[in-house]
Formats: sequence, structure tokens, C-alpha cells
Amino acid sequence: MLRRLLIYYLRESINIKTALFLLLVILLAVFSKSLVSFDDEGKARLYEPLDISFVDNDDSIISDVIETQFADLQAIGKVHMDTMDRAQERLADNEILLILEMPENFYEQTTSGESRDRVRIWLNEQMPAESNLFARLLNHAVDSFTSVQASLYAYQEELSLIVDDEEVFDNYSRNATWEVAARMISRNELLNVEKEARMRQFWFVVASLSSLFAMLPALLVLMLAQNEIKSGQHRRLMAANVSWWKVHLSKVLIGMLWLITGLIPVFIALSFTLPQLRWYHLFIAIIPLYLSVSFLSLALAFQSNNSEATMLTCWMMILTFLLMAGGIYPTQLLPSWIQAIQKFSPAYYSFSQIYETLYERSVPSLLYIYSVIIVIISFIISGLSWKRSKV
Amino acid sequence: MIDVFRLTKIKLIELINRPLILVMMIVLPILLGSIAGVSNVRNTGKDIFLAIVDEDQTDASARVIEDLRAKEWHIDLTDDDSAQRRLLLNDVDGVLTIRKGFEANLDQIEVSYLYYVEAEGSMVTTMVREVIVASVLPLFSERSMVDKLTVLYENNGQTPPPDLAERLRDRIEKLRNEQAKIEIEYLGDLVIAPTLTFVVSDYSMEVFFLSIYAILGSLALNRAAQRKRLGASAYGLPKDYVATILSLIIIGSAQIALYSVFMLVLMNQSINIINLLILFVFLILILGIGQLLSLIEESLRLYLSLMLLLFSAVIGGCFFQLSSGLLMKYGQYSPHGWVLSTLRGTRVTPIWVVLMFSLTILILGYFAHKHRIAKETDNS
Repeated sequence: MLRRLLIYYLRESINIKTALFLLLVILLAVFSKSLVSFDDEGKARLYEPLDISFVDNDDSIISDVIETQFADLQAIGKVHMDTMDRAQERLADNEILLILEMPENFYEQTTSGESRDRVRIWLNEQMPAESNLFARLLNHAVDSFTSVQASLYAYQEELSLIVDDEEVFDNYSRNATWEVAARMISRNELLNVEKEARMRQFWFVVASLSSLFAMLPALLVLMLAQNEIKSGQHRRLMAANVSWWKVHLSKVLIGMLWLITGLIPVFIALSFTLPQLRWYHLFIAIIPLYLSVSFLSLALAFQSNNSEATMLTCWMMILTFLLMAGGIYPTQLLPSWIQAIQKFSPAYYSFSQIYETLYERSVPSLLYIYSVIIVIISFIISGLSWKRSKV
Repeated sequence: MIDVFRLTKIKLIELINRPLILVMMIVLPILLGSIAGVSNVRNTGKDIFLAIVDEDQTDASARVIEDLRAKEWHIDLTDDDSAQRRLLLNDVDGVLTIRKGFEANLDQIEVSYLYYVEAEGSMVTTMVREVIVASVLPLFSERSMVDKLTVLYENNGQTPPPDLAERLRDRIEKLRNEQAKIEIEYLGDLVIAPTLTFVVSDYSMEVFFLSIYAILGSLALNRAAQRKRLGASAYGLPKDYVATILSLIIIGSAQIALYSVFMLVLMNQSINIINLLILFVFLILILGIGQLLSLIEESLRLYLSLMLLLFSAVIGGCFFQLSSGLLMKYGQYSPHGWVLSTLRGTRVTPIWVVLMFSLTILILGYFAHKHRIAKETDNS
């Protein structure tokens, strides 16, 4: 019986809706490929570093330090040393994220203790997201610069009490400046990061989109059930005493076939950029998610005759699962009450497994166990829904 | 005109009586607005929780801790076991350990005595590093400068003042907040709101759910049989069409307002009328598209619409923000990408062009529906 049901549902599922699903997956896989760029070590990243222009009207040790610091930032590509006209041209052509203009005599003003002109930054209005990210980096880097300057001022004040000769004073000042500048340049070494666990945006997006893809074929399964109800096939199957689990399982297996078909282009796109993610990692992570959501969709299908309302409810369920899993907003930014309930979302386990695999860390076995438990619970719910069918 | 108002009222009642529309109109905007509000506030990186293990227990280590506290971060001075436990529970963003020998070896460039362990998924390491550097650099400078000044005093045959180190420290502290402060002037129209991650954008969820609402509403209120009957009366069809659009606009606007109010109150920001206007134009655009999609066969239209919306939302940056390069190249041409770019202040297709385009689609939608009804009437 199961074999006959499988053949029947396979025939039923070869339609424009399945074609649309496959088309969507292929288009998104192609699009995802264009999202990625690679850094110098060949690692994939989501956002390409952006160039900046540095208009140095000061030409001093301070500007040297600033230039070195910018070049050192991961988010920054090249630092172009430009005239203001050339920099403005680049800005207009969207070649750079910003122009940083050091005012004239900045160093002299600094060493003489005069009030200094402002450092001016022209941001590219076509790059607001990057600008906001960069502004945060800059605000904190300024704290370091300020500290260095304060130290130098204090040193010069003390020095002036001992050294009268201007030339000697300048020599001592310059030496101290170089020493602090060297320390500033190597400032990343001041803090040893023992264990890296920070959020990787590219991996976050991959885990999130893969989980979303895994849930979409559940809509196809839902439509198979809805067509069956509309055509009267559901009543005939009930009258023929066909086991509910065979009917559900065959539909879900056919959906899984389309999921795997759709995943092939996704996996090919990912294998170029994320070699640590093997096909079995991906499949082990997403199949339980697909199964859970499909069984829950089937449960919904037998509770209402309004097919559009049911489909929309299913769609909202998918998005809710993704949101709860931390696949839309990262978990650490979500309100605490969502963090407390996120383990009820089957997408949480799939998302976490993929993310951990991308980090090349061992996946806790509890993640596998809970995802299987959720599949079993969803399966039971779909059976109960069949038995208390309202259609 | 009175008929249009009556029809609009009937349609509003009809929409409100649908539980799903009611959920999308009231529950979702409040829920999503609150989630977005909390997430956006957290994304500014103002609330940082650090556990610090001070093994050095010196003046220098105390000053680093004081500087971190001055940032109004939540600092928990604790022992290693407790810090690791809190890290495992994801109670803190990271654990900073100041190893023994930190003060004694401040002048050693090659060896660091500061160790940091990030919490799972942490986004604040760069920020923490900068604050620590800003705190440690003056300590390093102070030590090296005191040494230099002491040598100079001795070379001049003078005794260095006993409070030299203290004097230098006080002066550095004072200068940090006054003369040494670097002033940065941002030029341009961009509103700068520093963020921790690129992934989150404030209006993305509202844009996505607003589009689902607009499509769902368009499909729900589009009943061929009713329109056929109305088509037989004088101006029945245009009145019904206008009433449908009006009722969807009223509820959609309420959704936009609810979401924005809840999100912005949590973010402690004022409501920006321009942003509401941009979302309103987006609503009209999707309603226009919805009218065209409602012409598709009933068993396919919702599924097709959801797939199209998902595609547009992904390439438009609803699920994760796109870089400006991608947004300019592809994203801005999807409805979701257009609205998110415009909300962010990027120069894309002007709002009036999109408004005209949306109205054109709405008018086209009317004629398409009219044509279809005429055809169906002829066939029957």
C-alpha cells in the first residue's frame, strides 16, 4: 500500500507548484552565491571590505598612525591617499565608504596644546548600513587615540619642567610619540582572545536560509493533503481503512524527495564557499526540521476547509519557528522571553547544528536527540489531527 | 460616494471578522514591533555584561576595571569558576582575566596579561578590545614616561619628584576628557546610529509582514461572484474596487502605525513621518501587485504570491541586510529592497515614481478585473 501511495503522491506532486518551489530554490542559490566574497586567506565572507579615502592635510606622525590603523581594520579594504577633489570623485562614484580629512597643522596644534580643528568625515549616503557599522568602530578607536594623546600632552608638560632647549624638547617628544604610536599600532596584541565564539554573519545567514529552505516543502505537503480533501480522496482512504501513518508518511516522503532535489543546487553553491559543511551535515540537520514542519502542516490541513487560511497559518508557523530559532534576529539580540522558549522551535535545532558545523565544533548530541523527539511529537499530533479530522 | 463609504465599512467589518487578518492587523505588529525594538536597542551595543577575574589585584588592574565600569557596562568582579559558569549560561558577553604580573610588566610589549573569552555568539569583542586598549595604553605610556622623566631628572642632577607618577596619571585623566579629546565631524545627510551587526535592520520584519497582509487582504476581498453581480449595477464594479483598496489601506495603515509606535517607543526614538509615508507607498505598491495576483487561479494564487514575496524579501534584504553594492545592483529592484533602501536613506527610485507606478498598477488591476468579469459574463 505504501508503495502505491508513494507513486500516487509522486504523480500528484509533479505540478506547477513544485516547479515554483524548485525555481525559487535555484534562484536563491544563485543569488546567495553572488553574496559571497573571499578574504586574503580564502575564507568566505558576506560583505566585501570597502575602500576609504584619506585626505591628509597634516602629513604628520598622527596621520601615519591613523592610516595604519584604518588599513588594519577588517572592514576596510584599501586606504587611498587622495586629494580632496579625487576623494570626492571616488565618493560620487560609490568607490569608497568615506573620506577622512585630517585638518592642516593637526600635529602642531596637538603638540603645542592649542585647541584643534575637527577631523572631518564625509560618509557615503549610498552605504548607510556600512556607515553605521563603521561609525561604531570609529567611535571606539577614537577613545584609543584620545588616550595616547592625553599621555603625550602630560609627558610634554612634565618634560617642559626639565628641558629648556626647544630642539631637545622636540626630540624627546618625537621619541615618546613614536613609542606610543608603535604600541598603538600593535594594540590588538594587548588582549589575547583565548576562545573564539563570536557571531559570524555569513554562517548565520547560511544556517538561517538553509533552515528556511528545509521548511518550504512542507507547503507542498500541505497542498497535497488539501487537494486530497477537495477531491474526496481523503474520505475514500478513510473508508478503505488505510492507515493514517502510511498516508502521512508517503506524502512526507514525496515532499522530502523534492526537498533533496532542491537542496542539490544549494549544496553545490555552498560547497565552493564552505568546504567544512559536508552534504551529510546539511541533510542530518535539515531533514528532522522538514519532517517536523511537514507533520505539523498535515495536522493543520485536517482541521479546516479554508485552504488559503490554512496555508497562511502554515506560512506564519514557518516564520515563527525561524524567528524563535534566532534565524531572523540573532539569538543574543532577541528578547529574553523568546530566548526562553526558542527550544520549542524545531528550526532551533537545525539552525544550531548547521552553525556549529560551520564553526567546526562538535555538535552536542542533545541537539540531535531533541530534534528527533520533536519529529515524533509532530508525527503523533498529525495522527491525532487525522483521527479528529474536521474536513 | 456614500455607496463607496458603505461598501468600505462592510469590507472593513468583513476583514476584521477574519481571525487571521485580525492577528496580522493587531497582534503581529505589536509583537514584531516589540521584538524589533528590543533587538535594535541591543544592536547598539549599549548593554554589555562582562565578568572580570582580577588575579593581579593591583592599582593598574583596578584602573582597567574602573574604566570599563565608566562605560556604564555591567561589570561583575568575580572568581574564575563563577565567571566560567556565567559564560556557559550565556549570562555575560565575555570573561576578562587580568593575569598576575599585569602591573609589574606593563612596559613589556611582547607579553600580554589580559585574556578574554567570548560568549557564544558574542558581537562585542571588538568594542571591548578598544575600550581595554584605551584604558591600558595610558598605563603603558605612564610607566614608560615616568621612567624616561626619572632618567632625565637624574641626568640633570635633580631628584625626581616623589609624586611624579601620580601627577602624570592625574594629568592624563584630565586631558583625556578635555584637550586630548578628538572631535569628529560627520558631513552629509546620513543619520548615524552605530550598530553591532549588519544583519538586523529595524523595519525589515514590518516590511515583510505588511506585504503578506496586503496580498492576503487583496486575495480575501476578491470574490469573482460578488464582483459579477456588482458589475451588473451602475458603477458597481468601480465602487467595489475602490472600497476594497480603501479598506485595505485603512487596516494596513493601522498596522504600520502600531508597529512603528511599539518599536520606536522601545528604542526611545520619535516617530518619523517620512518613514511612515514610505511604508504607506510600499503598502499601495503591494496592494497593486496583489490585485494582479488575485487574477490567478484560486488554488495557485496564494502559494505563488507567498513564493514571490519570499523571493522579493530575500533579495531585498528583509532577512539579512545586503551590502550597498548588492542592494544597488539587484535588491533595490524588488519592492522590499526598494522600501528598505529608501528607509535607510539610500538614493534609489524616487518615492513619487513608485507611487505613480503603484497607482498605475491599481488602475490596470481594475481594468483587468473588469475585463475578466465581462469575459466570464459572456461565457455564462
